[in-house]
Amino acid sequence: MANEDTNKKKISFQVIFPFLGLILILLLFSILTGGKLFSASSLKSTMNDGIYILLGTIGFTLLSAMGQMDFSIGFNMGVSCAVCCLVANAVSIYASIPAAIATGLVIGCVNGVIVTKTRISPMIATMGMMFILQGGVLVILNGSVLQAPLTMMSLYTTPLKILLLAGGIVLGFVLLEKTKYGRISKAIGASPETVRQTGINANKYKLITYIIVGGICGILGFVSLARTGSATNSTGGTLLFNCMNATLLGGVPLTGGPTTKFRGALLGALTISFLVTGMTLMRISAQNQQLIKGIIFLIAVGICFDRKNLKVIK
Amino acid sequence: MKKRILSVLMGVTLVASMFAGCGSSENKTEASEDKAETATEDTAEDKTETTETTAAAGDFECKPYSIALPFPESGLTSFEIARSNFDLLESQTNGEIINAASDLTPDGVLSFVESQVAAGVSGLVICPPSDSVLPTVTQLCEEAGVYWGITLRSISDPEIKAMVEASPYYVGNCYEDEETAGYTCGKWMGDAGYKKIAIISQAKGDTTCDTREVGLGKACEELGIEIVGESRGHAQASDTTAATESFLAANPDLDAIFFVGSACTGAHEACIKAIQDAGRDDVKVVTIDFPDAMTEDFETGVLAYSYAQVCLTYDPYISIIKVVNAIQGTPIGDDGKFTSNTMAMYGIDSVEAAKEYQAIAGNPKYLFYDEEELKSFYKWENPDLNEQTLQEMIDSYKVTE
Amino acid sequence: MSEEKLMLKVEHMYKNFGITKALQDVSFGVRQGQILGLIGENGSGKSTVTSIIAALQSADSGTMYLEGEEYKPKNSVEAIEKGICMILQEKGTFDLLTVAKNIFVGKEELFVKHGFLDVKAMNREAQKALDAIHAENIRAEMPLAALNFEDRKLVEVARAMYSNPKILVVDETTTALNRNGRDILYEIMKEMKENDKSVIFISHDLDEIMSVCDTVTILRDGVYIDTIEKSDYAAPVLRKLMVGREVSDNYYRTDKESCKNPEVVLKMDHVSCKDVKDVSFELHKGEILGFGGLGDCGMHILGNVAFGLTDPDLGKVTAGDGTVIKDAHVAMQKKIAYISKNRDQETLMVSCSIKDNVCLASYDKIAKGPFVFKKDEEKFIEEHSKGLEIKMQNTDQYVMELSGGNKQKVALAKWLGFGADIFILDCPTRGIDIGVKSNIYQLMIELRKQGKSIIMISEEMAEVIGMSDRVIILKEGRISGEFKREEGVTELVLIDYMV
Repeated sequence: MANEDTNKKKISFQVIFPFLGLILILLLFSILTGGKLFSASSLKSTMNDGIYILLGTIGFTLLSAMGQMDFSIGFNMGVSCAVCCLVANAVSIYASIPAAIATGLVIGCVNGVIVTKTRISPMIATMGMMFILQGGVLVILNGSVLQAPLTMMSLYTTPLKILLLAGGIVLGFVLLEKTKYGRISKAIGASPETVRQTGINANKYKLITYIIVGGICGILGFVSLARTGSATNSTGGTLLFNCMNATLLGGVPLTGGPTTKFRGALLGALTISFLVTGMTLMRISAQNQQLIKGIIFLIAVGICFDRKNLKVIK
Repeated sequence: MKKRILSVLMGVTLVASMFAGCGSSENKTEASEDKAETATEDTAEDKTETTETTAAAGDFECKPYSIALPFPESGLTSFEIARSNFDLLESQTNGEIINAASDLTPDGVLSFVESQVAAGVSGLVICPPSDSVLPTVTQLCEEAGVYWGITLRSISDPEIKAMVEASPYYVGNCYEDEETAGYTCGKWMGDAGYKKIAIISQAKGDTTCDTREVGLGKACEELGIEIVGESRGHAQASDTTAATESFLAANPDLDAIFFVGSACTGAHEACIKAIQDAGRDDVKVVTIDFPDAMTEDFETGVLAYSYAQVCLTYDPYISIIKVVNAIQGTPIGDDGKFTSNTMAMYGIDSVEAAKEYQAIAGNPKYLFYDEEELKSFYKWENPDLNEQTLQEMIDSYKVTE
Repeated sequence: MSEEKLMLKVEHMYKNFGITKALQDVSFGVRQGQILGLIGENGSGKSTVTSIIAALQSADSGTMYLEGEEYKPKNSVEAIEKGICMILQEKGTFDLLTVAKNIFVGKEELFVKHGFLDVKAMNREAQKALDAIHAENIRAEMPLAALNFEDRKLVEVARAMYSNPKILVVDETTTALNRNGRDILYEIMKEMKENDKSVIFISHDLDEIMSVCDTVTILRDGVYIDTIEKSDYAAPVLRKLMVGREVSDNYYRTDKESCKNPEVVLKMDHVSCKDVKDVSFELHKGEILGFGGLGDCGMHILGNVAFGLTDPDLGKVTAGDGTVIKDAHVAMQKKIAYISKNRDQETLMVSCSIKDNVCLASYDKIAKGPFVFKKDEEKFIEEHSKGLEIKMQNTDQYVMELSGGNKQKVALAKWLGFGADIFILDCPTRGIDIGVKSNIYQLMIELRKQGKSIIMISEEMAEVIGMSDRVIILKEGRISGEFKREEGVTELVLIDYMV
């Protein structure tokens, strides 16, 4: 019995840790930078990067809730961005938005079909997809950088950014915490066999989630094009690592299940975003930034996971 | 329950900070526009002042500044040389030059500009992967009143070029004539009698390498050289080893392997070693950009020709000097305009030449210009400095000095 | 007897797991040169007592004597040093290591030279160990994953034998072995006997026990029942001692009439699947249909097939209206519910809250559109768990913290809330203490009264007889007997049909 009590205490600390982490990082950097962290330009910079990290992390969390993962999100974003750019040049910048999203959705759908119809593990399947897309970007871009019409950049407005951030947060929260979909996603993560024996078609839910994540990548592809006006073979290259880092920092277990909480994804994404801005403001050198990120990552994983019960990666 | 309250609070803070961020950034736009105007006025005034007080140039008091450069220190000799030169520049002009982390992706460049502006730098040097990030960079820098220049690139899109060059905060660019570089190497190989070559280059989409390959293509056509293999985007030396081995295996009559762009640390040495291991002393290596261990590479007899800027970091160095001049109110271009300069390149084809070069450039403390020489790059000291005279100074630069 | 020395003696051993009394005052002994068989039903405590001997667990009280001296092992390493080795019922090997490394796991320091592991020496030594048990076909340097299940068990045997034990404990190992493997094991046991060492052998297979063992000790419900020497062996007697518990408590059904409702709600038509061969039956409305047999008779798969989780190779399962039950989704549309024998892995999500578990099957009812609100969930649980008296702190408590009985109640609440009409309960009282057992029986009686139908699959004959309107006995996958309640069939009769 005493054992159970200590267990509970530990769990609650694991829940609190991401909050503490974010607060600590915010406080630390705002003091060390003399308040610069909350200056308009620094918040703007954080927000611009934060869109990718936040939306990507939400997608990643939806998948990890059911014990799935998608390694191809970064290059899905890259391919969507490339297609978006082609359409923007060939048709119009407005037609490029649905084109980008549709590309993302199709890739997500293929991922979903591969994972649900074959017995290939999500990690391997999406890693394969990642390589395919990596090559695909080069083919679409014909090897070089592709530039969108300059008017494309006029779409990257503050209302759009706020819409994406706020929309992502609200939709993500409702989806994961307030719907049947969210409940069943977590159940799939907790015990796929139980879900099967409860007559639920888990594959349907997995497929839907891969498609949603694909759609998010499509949106991010468009965002990247609207922000930078160009699609390159390295677009989206850092998305996966940042999102995985944020997911883990937020205490979201990669095996999924009931301990998957939306607030974890949100906190993780905010922490990573502010961490990067804060470190740049502090003028911490590139190598040391990597070092610090790595250390924080390890601490987070160490604290947030009870390794007896949960394996971080299956 | 506490958790929930906390998370709601967090959410509110985030949304509030977003609005705050956007709101005040708009205000700031206006403010910075004002500032830009005054800045241009200031520059004009400053300039008249400087011309008036040329005699008293030695008394010029430099404003403190900080300039960020998107190349983190990598430990390569050329970066150490850059640091030594930056140190001298910093001490003479009362500033700070920051080697910052940046991805060289479009998003990465914009994040670099945004975060450095937020950190309060007064100048920036960037290396854009594509032209289309430049309008945003121009806008960001104008808003913040930050002078900026481009290194290692030129702007090819005419519309963007016009837009960027119209900005009072753009100080200009430095670039290598990549096409000529590619052509020169191709010509050298043709003259040396090479007929079949394989190339190692960056992934397609790297502007520098793509342009060099265009030049190379022209030379190949002229001189009847055939490119029998290509391998791209090496991330580590073992990639180069593997590529070299497969080139050698597939082409028994290969003449040379040509590095179009420096791939990764140790790539050249890996290639040379693979050739030696295969016992194919008929195959030579030609490179653009000097290998770090150039003398040793020439000594093996495998490296035949290397062609490069005098020093990889000479280009950003000049770009930074341009930004410094602009920050100090004495932009190099006449009437405060931008300046565009190409960097001289030259070739080395023998152990002796390599030794001579490396004796100087292999020293991390090597200075491009000593204290006195450097002063002629400050317009407040040298009022005759302009685009043309700067180009002359660059062209006359020799590493043997 | 007197000239033969006692190798190991166990006296007055007690062990509780929570409320479950796994061992109560168990005493027995093993002589030198003796093969002792240990038999009993599931949960009779035979694995518990052997794992205490091998120091994998500790007893609550009681003493053990090894060759006359008090034996108090702190851990399994010490037990092995003292010469007691156990081959486990569960898998005790590491797939990713080589055979040799598996054999010498924990003993690698024997082969460390200058700080490096001498793999060759280890492989040589491991091969010797394998050859010693005549498992020459297994090569020491092979990765374990390359071996089939039988050979992996033999690797465990080689590991146990390498330490040259005085007492070898074999726990249900033979079920995992094929003929060849069994012969190897029997050979080893014979050699040990000849060398004046001892073996404790646990098996479900009565024939095997009788042919291999010199003496048999019977445990039931954690209590020592009797010890019988080889000369007195008689299968019926042993069986009776093993399973023949008196129905002392009055928690089963008291009525003696079977259900007479002719309406068929579930029908299995000539179904063959894996161990199940050509099984047909009909389940009537308001009927409790009991399935009994030995653990491997196929009845557990039958439940799986009836719920549509496993496709039958031949034949079909249909609901009362003739709909073919092709998957669990269709089964649930026909209001069928299934609680697996592996409840914690397959019916419940033990890492989730009680709420999540109870609601899982019923989100279609609870949700408003796509949305699920917490208060609706609370209401739903309130409605469906109140009669069950689940002992919990609140509905957010994790299921893994509950006792077996309460877990079972959560599983039942899940299906009651779903509103099932047909319940397929596989081993509904497995690992559950008496108090909760009677709760569950009462609930079954209640459901029957409401006109719901129940298929109860159980290895406990007493409850099958006590609860069912009709009992079907399976033997090796085929129906070997069917009895109506009014026939008043007894366990002894059923056992004849089972074995």
